[in-house]
Amino acid sequence: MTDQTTASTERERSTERTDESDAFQSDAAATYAVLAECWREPSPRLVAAVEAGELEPVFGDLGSVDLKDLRTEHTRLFIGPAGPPCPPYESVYRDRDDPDELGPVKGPATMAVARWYREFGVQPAQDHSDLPDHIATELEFAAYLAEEGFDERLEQFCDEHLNTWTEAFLERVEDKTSEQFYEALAATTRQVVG
Amino acid sequence: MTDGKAYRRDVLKAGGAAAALGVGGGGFLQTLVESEEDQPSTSGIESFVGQNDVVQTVCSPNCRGKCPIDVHVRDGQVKKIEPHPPEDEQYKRACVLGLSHTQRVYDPTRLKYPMKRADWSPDKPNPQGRGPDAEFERVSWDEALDLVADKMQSLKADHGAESVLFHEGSGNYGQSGKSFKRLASLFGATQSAWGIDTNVGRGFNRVTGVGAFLPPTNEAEDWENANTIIVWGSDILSSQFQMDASKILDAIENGAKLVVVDPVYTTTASKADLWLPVEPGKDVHLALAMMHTVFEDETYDEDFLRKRTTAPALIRKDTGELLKASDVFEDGGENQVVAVERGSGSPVALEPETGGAYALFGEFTVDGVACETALTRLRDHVADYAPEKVAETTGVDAENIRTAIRWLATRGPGGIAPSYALGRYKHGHIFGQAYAMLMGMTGDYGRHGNIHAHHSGGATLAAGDWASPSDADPGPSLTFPEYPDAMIDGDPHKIRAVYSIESNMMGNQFPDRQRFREAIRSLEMYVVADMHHTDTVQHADIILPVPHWFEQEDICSGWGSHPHLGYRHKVQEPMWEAKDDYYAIRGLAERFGYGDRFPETKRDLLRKFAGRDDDIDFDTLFEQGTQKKESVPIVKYTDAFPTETGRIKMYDDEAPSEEGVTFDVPRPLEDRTADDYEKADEYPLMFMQKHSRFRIHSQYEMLNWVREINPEPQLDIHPKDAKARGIDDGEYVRVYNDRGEMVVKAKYNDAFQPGLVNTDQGWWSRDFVEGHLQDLTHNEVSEVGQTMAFYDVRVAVESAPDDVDTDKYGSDNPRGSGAKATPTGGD
Repeated sequence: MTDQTTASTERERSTERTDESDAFQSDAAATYAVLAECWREPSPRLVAAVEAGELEPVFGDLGSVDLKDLRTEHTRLFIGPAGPPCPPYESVYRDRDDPDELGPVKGPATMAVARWYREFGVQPAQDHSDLPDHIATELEFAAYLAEEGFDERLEQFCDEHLNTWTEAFLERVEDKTSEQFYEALAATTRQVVG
Repeated sequence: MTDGKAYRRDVLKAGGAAAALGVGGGGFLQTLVESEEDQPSTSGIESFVGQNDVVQTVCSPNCRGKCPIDVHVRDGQVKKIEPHPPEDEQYKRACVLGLSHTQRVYDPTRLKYPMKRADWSPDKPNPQGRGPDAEFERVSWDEALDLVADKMQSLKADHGAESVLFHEGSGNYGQSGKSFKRLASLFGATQSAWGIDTNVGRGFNRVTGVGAFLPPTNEAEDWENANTIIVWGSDILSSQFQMDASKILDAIENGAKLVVVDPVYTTTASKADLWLPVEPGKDVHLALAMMHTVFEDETYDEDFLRKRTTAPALIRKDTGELLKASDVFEDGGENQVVAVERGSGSPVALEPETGGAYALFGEFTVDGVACETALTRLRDHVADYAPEKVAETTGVDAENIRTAIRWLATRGPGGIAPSYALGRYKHGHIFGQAYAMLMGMTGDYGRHGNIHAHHSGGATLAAGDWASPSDADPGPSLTFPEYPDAMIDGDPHKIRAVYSIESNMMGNQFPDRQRFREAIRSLEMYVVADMHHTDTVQHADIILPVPHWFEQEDICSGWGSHPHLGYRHKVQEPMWEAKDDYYAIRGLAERFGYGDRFPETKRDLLRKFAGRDDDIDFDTLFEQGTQKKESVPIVKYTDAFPTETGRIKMYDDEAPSEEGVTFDVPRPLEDRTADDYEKADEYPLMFMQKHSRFRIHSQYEMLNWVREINPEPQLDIHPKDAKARGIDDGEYVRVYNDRGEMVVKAKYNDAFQPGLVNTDQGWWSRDFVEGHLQDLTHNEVSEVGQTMAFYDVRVAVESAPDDVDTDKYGSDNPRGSGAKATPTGGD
């Protein structure tokens, strides 16, 4: 499924680009990149951007956020130590035998995602300790595909991966979070990838 | 877009946001980097299925098995696990829990990053913030270790190094403990001393000079030579994970008789020639009745008693002390005891391992002092324990008592294989004393086919003084049961911080859980290293994530099962930021200024350890995966016993006493099982928490595969006891006593005799509808045993209140808390 050659990849590369943002040629890429960054561990820059209203065009009003609160919530939802209630990994939702249980990390779905990355000449950074099918990394890869103009392959990646598990994940986030930021992030992510 | 279709994802104008977040331009690739080669490294079928590798490694919980296993890895993913026979194939084994690591290694709830409790700081520990609602934030490893080191050093400066306790459990059978103890020794911290399952061994040790946990026994390969095996309080065929069961079955095939003494009709009991359904806590009565029978039948081993025991030694009737050679002969030793030669009637000093025509029975006067032999004293003592008399107390038919011991005494070599369960009654050490002497009477030491414990000794790695270097000034040690008083009241000294590795004890496995929680709350810092989010981890201030065993190389001793060492090869790199305990230990050592005392890499450390053990060659062990320690004797007790006399003590004139009872000879002393125990009417049921085949202590709690067949804790209760309380099978019940309560599902189980109920150990708080089994247990220990008495507990049982919330085990959620919604762990 994902062992297309580089040649076919080249053929599918779109020559059309948008130039609506300063930095991104693709607005879709910018959107995916913003979502990816928001699913990562909250940074001072994220908080500053929220406070400055810079994210409003994407998320609507996010109210006020506090870095420590946001980090604690991020840790609780996605890292642990308890649970975590919302593991942010594709395989946990894709590779389970039973919808009532959580599947494994580093499952077959994880490997399939890693093959996508390999095919496009990217890989998780050496010092990146998290798994390749983390929501943020998949979105980052989607941004990469969009930015590079691989529109059809982006469509395929979303069909084969992002679209297949994010709904289950986002529902959990909406169910478990008490931070408006993550509710808004979940809703917007659903809108974008759904 | 190429096909002109409008995608929803394009509608957002995210450019400004991207710029604000700094992910514009090339900045958006944060976790992905461009590969060095753009071509996929594999092609064809391999690119799809990946490369297949097989790594030999070792499973490492404290089931003691240390089973070598082959891990099949495909495309970097653990796919399958198979047993791998060790160098000596007769010790081959592995259980299905070991094979389930494919699931455990990828459990999404594993600990991932170092954490700090959000409201904890070294100066403001906020102890009340600990517990079920504690929140945590992620910190870097450096930050975590800095915090721990700084706090330990400030405590050392203000209160002395012994205010820090290094607590080590048994959750990972590698060599980490040696470095952990080395660091503790150099720092001067208080160190932990074992207080679980040490009871029987202590009693046995009083008689023979050996035994700490269970005493040494012939290695399992020799068990097939036993003609009679009395398994006492152990469900070897079900809850032991080693090859021990197969060795028992080999013995049976060779014609051995199997006797099982157990209050429970266990799997093992169902395979026995004879089952003695002893009532809880009455084991010493039973052992004394067996002694009575041996005397009555005169089936004792006279030669053995004369040569290797103090049976012929004379006891002064005036003082109760053993007559010493120095009392009788000018050049007699002060530790030497004296016997009388038959015929001549003259006294003779007893040497170790030396037979002679010594009188085993009788009264003699030596130098005007009236004496009797130790065996006479013992025979008179057990005269009160005729099987008929003991039958009612123990619940065991008199004739069956006789049959069991007659088999052992008359069918050739054999043994008694007790478990730790006997030591889980407060005064369980008395049983250790009793059966050590009983086997002295039958002469079952030092022969092929002798068995003294339900698991053999196996092999350990000898690393010399690594754990306690000669230039260190180690702090005091504290036994487990002493922890709460030390933490709460400063008795014998105040513990202010704990660093815990390989252990879910303080939050889950220790008894009297509420008091241990109070103890944790009184600490200024609680550092816990673990693989999973256990109840203990939830109470930590600093959490250090430890990798799965497949992600940390180590040397695994085959202690308690087989005479090999195993090399635990790394199967994959640690996931997330989990790091080997050695990383944290060495990191702290560096911060304390002892960095140069710890090799930089784990491999160097292991090579150094192997170099200290003459039996082991690192490269051979590394290459083969296992190496048998040839110096481990297969048959034990072949030399003089390490007692003052070199002999088994059939009488102890320096015996300790408890509650007015002196243990010069084995005398029954019971706590909660005593018929006249003051609250016996209020709490009429004895409460046991046996090991099950489903978990190893509290490990594997989270595995969905296990939960499929064993989804929730239950109370095993005899239908008669249940019906008397109006309790239906499968109904939720409240189990309570004066310490606490739990709510679990009742399970009619007539394997448990009336008066005895059980909940298998190993469940975490989240698995209980209410409470926890350790809310019922207590932390009272005997002076001699110093061992937590988990089974010496009484409870009452009633139907659970109607309003109790059992939704977590509702019909739409058959797998319980590990499955539905969130396995959030903790509480």
